[in-house]
Amino acid sequence: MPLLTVNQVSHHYYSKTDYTKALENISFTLDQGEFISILGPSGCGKTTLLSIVAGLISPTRGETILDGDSDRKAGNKAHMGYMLQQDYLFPWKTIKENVLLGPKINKKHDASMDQRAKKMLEEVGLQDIGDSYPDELSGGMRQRAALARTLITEPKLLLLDEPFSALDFQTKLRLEDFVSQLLKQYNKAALLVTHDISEAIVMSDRILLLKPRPGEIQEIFKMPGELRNLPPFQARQHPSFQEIFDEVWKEMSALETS
Amino acid sequence: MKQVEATNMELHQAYVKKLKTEQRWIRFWQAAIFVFFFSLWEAASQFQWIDPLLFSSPSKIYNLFIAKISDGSLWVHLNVTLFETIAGFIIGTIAGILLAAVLWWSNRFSKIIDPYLVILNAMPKVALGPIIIVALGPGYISIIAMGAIISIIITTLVVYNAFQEIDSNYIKVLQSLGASKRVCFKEAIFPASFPTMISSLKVNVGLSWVGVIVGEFLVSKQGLGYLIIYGFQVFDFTLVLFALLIIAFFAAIMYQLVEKLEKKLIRQ
Ligand SMILES: Nc1ncnc2c1ncn2[C@@H]1O[C@H](COP(=O)(O)OP(=O)(O)O)[C@@H](O)[C@H]1O
Ligand SMILES: [Mg+2]
Repeated sequence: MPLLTVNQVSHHYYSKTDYTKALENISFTLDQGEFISILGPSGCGKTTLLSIVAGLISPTRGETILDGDSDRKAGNKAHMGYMLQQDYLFPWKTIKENVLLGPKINKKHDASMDQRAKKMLEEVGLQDIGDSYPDELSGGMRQRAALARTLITEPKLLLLDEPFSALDFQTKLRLEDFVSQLLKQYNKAALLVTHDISEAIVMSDRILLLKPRPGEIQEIFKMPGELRNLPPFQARQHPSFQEIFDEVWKEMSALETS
Repeated sequence: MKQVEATNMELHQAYVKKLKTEQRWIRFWQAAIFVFFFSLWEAASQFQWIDPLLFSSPSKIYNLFIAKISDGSLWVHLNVTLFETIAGFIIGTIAGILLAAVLWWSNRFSKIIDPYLVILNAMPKVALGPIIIVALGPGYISIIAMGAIISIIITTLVVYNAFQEIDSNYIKVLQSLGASKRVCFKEAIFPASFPTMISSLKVNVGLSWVGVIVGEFLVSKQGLGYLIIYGFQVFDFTLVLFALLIIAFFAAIMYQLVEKLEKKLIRQ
């Protein structure tokens, strides 16, 4: 059984005068430990799709099933971790308090959680800064703290909404490697939203290419085994990277001109 | 290299010195205006350039000040007014914030109530004074109510606006961690709007003084506002000006205290 099933999901946004078809008939499945990227130009409904999967908005039509459970209300959201374009660390909380937000909200905050938070921060390479405030950290460090906040709740599925796009290029490359390695280590599944073709290629097992207005799946690319097993940074230098890049590029360009 | 370092030091010292000189000039002129104003007032009154019966003089006000301190009546009136003002502005601010929270909680309620808020906000609140006094009795409760009512609605509007301005992605983060609406309010909306609430304190201090003084005019029992209206009725303008100066002094002190509090709270 797949971890996540997205079944014929459509979503419309309504306004007084008009409505936007943000998503149209999206179906796919995601297995345990699998990494899928959703690639598409800006405004094609990627964020909407993630919000639906996360249970933050309910789709106009269709359903999403996580681990056999289609009725996901408040309590079950903890099975998913959500990371956004920016870190959205709360500036008035220390890094440690930020990381412990999930346990606090779910009333699981105790001494053992403090230990876990410490371990989690070590894991993301931020030991000894638990008492600092977010504005004392660099962009990359903040995004790693946000990752720790997401991982401490032990989500079954990670939802990543362009989490690297606000970082400078070097930090982005380093963080890609880091996240990819961490996900492999814990055998976690992830759904990454991006408009960056190379990022999608080097991070994922599969890429869903979305076309805009309405957001529909245009094409599904399977990444070859030799790329999937390499860390992102090395995958970028692999000979078959360029080949796939060209293929995806052509498809995506066709979307934008049509 | 060393030489460059040395000249840089000198330049910096020169800059600091210039800053200090500038500061001293400003202080000097501030003091000068103060002395000039009161001397002119005194002289004008002594030489009858102005009517001393209407405009009194600093020396008469000073003598009254000494008298009022020694017979203890200054403390009575001052205490009453300070208590009413502080109570008024704290109640007004808290009630305003609570009302803003209710508006945030129910979108529909906020839409329904919106035109009434606009009317209440535009309305000059002191005009309600007589009705408040009839309803709550001619005592300090009415005066506190006037000090509070004058700032409630504007606090509500400003704070509610701040509640709405928070980046919705913070809410998204909390919801994805399983937070309820109440938790979202506690963890994100409220703390993010904290600076706005503190700065509304600063505005409300000034407003509460207005409400309380007008309240004391109307109730006419005790307080600095009462001294003004009493002095006016018995044609004792030394008393009126004396009360006015005391009010100016303590209103400024209170404002500064709230400003200090703001700096302290916001830095954390
Ligand atoms: N809350 C909303 N209300 C109305 N329209 C929206 C809303 N959110 C997104 N949209 C519209 O839906 C489409 C898809 O948006 P989004 O999912 O944010 O795309 P992406 O993340 O791929 O850039 C866009 O045309 C956008 O204008
Ligand atoms: Mg988006």
